[in-house]
Amino acid sequence: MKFKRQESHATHPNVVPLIDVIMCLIIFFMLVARIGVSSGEDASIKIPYAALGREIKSLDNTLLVNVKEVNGRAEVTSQIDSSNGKGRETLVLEGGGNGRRLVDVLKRLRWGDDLRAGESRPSGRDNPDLKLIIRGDSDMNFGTLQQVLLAAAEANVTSLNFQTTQKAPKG
Amino acid sequence: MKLDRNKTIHYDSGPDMTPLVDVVMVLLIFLMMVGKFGGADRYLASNLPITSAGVSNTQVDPNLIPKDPVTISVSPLPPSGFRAFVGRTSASNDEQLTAQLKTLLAGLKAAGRKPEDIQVFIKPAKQLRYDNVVTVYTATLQAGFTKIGFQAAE
Repeated sequence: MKFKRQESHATHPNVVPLIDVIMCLIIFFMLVARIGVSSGEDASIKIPYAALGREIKSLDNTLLVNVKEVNGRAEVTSQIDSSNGKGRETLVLEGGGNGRRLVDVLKRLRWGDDLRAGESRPSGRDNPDLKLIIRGDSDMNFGTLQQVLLAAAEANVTSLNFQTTQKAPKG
Repeated sequence: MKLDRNKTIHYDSGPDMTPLVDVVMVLLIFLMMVGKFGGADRYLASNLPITSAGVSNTQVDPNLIPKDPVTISVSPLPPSGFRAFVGRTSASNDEQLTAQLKTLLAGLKAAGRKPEDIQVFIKPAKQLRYDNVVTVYTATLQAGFTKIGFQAAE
């Protein structure tokens, strides 16, 4: 009788090392994973490969634009107001169409509400450090990108960042 | 009596870990599925948007345009390649182009110019694929140039 009771005690597995390991994993994932951080990236865009490139530490004061071609026409989308939870918005390039123009959006961010240099009112503060992130599709032509670059030039945005991947393309 | 007491102590020793492990496992799986992993994104940075050559409707600040730039003209080479022209030389892959640009940079350095003051313009044709634009850009960076901008195609 006495031996049997001791056997039942031995069947308890020791879960303490398991919990130690899992807690370490959880803390690791919480620190490493970027949860809920979205700057309006279009996941369907195949960004080009580049061996070089630098990281941007802070995504404050940046505007990310997704640029791709749909049926041979340029399509630019961006999540302009991330604060109000709106999704991506399609912006209009030089050609015309309905909706906000990319140039106007960039000018507003670059020059403030007054859309020009100098501060005629407090909300018209200039923003020379505005960074534009261009998430371009590998398959588009330069002609499409050029329209975005021209808009940036017109709005006097001087920090352009072309998003690239370090994953080498297959084949 | 004595035997019974022993039995109880054996079974209740330590807290019940099962609910804790359940919750922790759910958290672990949630974080693994929701989190975005992989290295940080990389960017090729330029401090000059574009300089226009015969492009209408666009006013570019004249202060942005530097003196004596190096221009790399790039045209598409079917099906998905490119041909880059720098001065009198041309290249159709990134290694060739990097080598040619290194030679050019060495010449410019010998002439007393600093690499950080030399503006390079990439002038791609409108039909050039964007991944080739990025390849040319990377090759230029690899050659040692630091200021790279684009010139609009007519």
